[in-house]
Amino acid sequence: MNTPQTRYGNDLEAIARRARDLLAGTARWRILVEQTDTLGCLVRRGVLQPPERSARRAVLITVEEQGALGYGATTDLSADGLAQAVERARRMAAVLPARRLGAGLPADATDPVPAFVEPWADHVDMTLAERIEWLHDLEIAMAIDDRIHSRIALLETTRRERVLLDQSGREQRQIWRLCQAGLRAVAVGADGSQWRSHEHSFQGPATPEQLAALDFTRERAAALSRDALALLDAPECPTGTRDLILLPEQMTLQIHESIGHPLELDRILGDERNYAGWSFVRPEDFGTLQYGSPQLNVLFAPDEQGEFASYACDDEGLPARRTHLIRGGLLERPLGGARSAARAGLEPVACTRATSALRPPIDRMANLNIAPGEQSLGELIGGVEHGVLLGQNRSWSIDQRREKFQFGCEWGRLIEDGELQGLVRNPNYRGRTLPFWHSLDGVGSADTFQVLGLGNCGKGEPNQSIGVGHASPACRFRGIEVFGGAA
Amino acid sequence: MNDLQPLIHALAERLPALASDGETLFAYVYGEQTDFARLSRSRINQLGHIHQRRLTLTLSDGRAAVKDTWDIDAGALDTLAPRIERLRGDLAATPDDPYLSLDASPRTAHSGQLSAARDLEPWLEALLANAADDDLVGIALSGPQGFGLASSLGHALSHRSGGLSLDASLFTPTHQAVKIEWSAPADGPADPAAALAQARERLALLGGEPYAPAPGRYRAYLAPEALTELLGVTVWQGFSRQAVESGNSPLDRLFRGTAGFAPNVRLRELREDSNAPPFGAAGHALPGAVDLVIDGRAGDTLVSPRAALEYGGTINSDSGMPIALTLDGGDLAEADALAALGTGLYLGRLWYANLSDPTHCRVTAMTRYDCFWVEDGRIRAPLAPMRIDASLYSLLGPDLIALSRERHRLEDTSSYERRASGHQLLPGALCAALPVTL
Repeated sequence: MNTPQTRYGNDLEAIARRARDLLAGTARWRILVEQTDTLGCLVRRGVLQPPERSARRAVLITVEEQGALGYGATTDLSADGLAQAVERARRMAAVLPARRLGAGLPADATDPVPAFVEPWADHVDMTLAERIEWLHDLEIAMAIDDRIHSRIALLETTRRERVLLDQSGREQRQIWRLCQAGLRAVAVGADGSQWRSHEHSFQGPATPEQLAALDFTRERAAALSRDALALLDAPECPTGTRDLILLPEQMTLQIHESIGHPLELDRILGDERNYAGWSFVRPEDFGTLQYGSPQLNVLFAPDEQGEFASYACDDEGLPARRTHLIRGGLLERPLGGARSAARAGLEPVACTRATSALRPPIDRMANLNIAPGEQSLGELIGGVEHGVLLGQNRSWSIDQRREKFQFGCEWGRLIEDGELQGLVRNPNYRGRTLPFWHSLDGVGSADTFQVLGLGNCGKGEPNQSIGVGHASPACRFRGIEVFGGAA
Repeated sequence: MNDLQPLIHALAERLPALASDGETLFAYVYGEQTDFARLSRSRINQLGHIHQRRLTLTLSDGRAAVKDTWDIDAGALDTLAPRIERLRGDLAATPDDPYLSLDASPRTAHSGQLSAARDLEPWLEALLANAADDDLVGIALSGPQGFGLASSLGHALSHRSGGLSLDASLFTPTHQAVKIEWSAPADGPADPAAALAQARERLALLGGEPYAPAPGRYRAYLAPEALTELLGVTVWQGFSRQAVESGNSPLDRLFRGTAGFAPNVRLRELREDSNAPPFGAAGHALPGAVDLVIDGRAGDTLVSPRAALEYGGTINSDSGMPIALTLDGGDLAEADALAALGTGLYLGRLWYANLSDPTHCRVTAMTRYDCFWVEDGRIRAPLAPMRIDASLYSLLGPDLIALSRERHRLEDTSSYERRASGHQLLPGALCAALPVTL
């Protein structure tokens, strides 16, 4: 009997080789073959939703003819299906060659091609039965009060393998183990609802030990419900100009929206203007624009083990290397893959990724981290006369050129005269990107540093949702406009 | 590909034999063949074809269910048995599900239509030839979509849709832009030259120095395309029965009866007018119309099959999210909108809306496309990018002056994982006070 289990390794490489044989006579081409297997479970209010397995098995053929690219993507991996995908890629490459934007496939590989083989191959994920028990255990820990109307515990694991071949003989194989876990408690009172959540997106095995190390514990689950209940009775966040301390769980969003996206080179070149938007950054700003205060150091870090978007090569085969994007506040380089960088005349980084083999790769931010500084959290707080400490993002909005933002959090705590005070609800803050990063005057030390990630960064046409990693210490900003709820 | 009927009937024949005693099998199939042309600066950035066909199998023993989704090809029927065997193992580990709901009314039906076949290539050539001197950026999509559902109980349902669409922007050198959205068959025959000419006329209005009004409250006219951005983030969970009951709905106060909209606000889910299939993923037939807001007050919630068992009510939705939200029009002629506005903000499109205070249904968003400063009923200047932050209970409540008579059908043009279905049909809204915050 056939087994539904994925036949890894040689199987994908065999598909790639079959496609390669069909490309005989084509000078420049690339093949990306993917197998992704996911198992997701969610417990809500004591009831497990139907567990869901899913598998993506597809191939993306890219053909270059006279500098023009054509893509053929298919889930039909039969001989006929592959032949049709190759034929469609060829046909697309031949359409309107004089009306192309320019920049074909990257130059042939000259560097040694690294492999990204999962470091956790010996670790086994929890079985379905173990996951169900683990989720119920955490979910029931949130049931501490009748006012908790919704309790959610979820766990999703993904094993993804990609094989990349191109005309230069490059053969790249990568395997990832991705895990996303989350808890949420929603408290409902006479005046509305408040919620608290805890979530992680990381690479590694889904074991109780690994998840406990990320604070997925009964104690944390119960604390989420207690915090949500406390928020029902908390005062609104005051309105006014205050200093702000953002914990890593909110810094993730701040980095993502106001550093990551503005530095994507395809945005800067204008390719995303119809959908995800443009950028205020111009190509001539690299090497000259003081993006933030001298304490701001931002790293493109695809080699950070365990972070959600780590890899050895991007989906065009460019080897990934750690590099500064912003150093001492000065903007040094964009997030531009080989194709965008060639168009802009800039040096590329390995950031061209596709959400699946059914989409062409585009510039994505991967792991984007802020380097830790010297101050403890206590020292950061101690330096604030009137301020707010904020954690866990709840709302995000920024203009299409990434300048004017407004973000909201699940919770905040006032700071007065260097001391943490009580909880406040519905905290929001707004500002403009460059003044905001120039107001950074305190960067937390390594013991405030957390590696986090987001599973659903949206961009591209056709649309692509992809995972990214962000790591940061706690950071302090001076003189920010904050406000609370109420109409 | 554009007709899943043969596969659905084959599945309907095969599934009964694959289900053991007491088991039920449902197979939901989605397929598309899409040509895409991604455009930037009036040139082709990425051009390709996507073929996908995907099957979701649900196995139930009457007390619980488990699911498996995978990509299929011509040998799809041969992949069923091993998948079912693995699902049986999953089902054995799965506890009872009190909210399990699979439709028990088998039927055979075929619905939907594909627009007249259009080849993307000549259409694209005509578009780019006409846009050679413009700064055009966006996406053109073309091709059929198919949906289908078969079960071991005897369901055999299929639905077709798809066609050609363009979602693009035309820019000025000063970052101002107008949007061009066109979708077949909804909008009739495509004429790239006419669409571009119309867009250029609108773009000409955006020349000149942008005006940046100081933070404050302004009289404003929100075009249907602006209103859809605010409603979209609100209705994502707003009308869901499950969200309302569990504290996750930003329309909580509406359903508690402590807040409402103006008496002329009537919102409905009109699935019968959409291109989405008339059946849900678990086989349930879905009604053509649901009243959500009547005379400004709460009507029905959208009840998914699971929510119907958890909280009661009749199933009227697949997910609890509307896919064809319709707001009744009012008395204001669109042609009179500027005169009725007088002095204030004309907002053509907003973007990146998000809830800033869910309890009070307060939404923040940025201006984008076709936004103007208007004085005495005449356009004076394009607006610089501005942030608004307002409660929908105010905008569509005490601050609502009028709704436009004409309504715009706004297709969902998103394409995450697959090309979306659904639309909103909305009028414009003239409001007395819109808060501008940044």
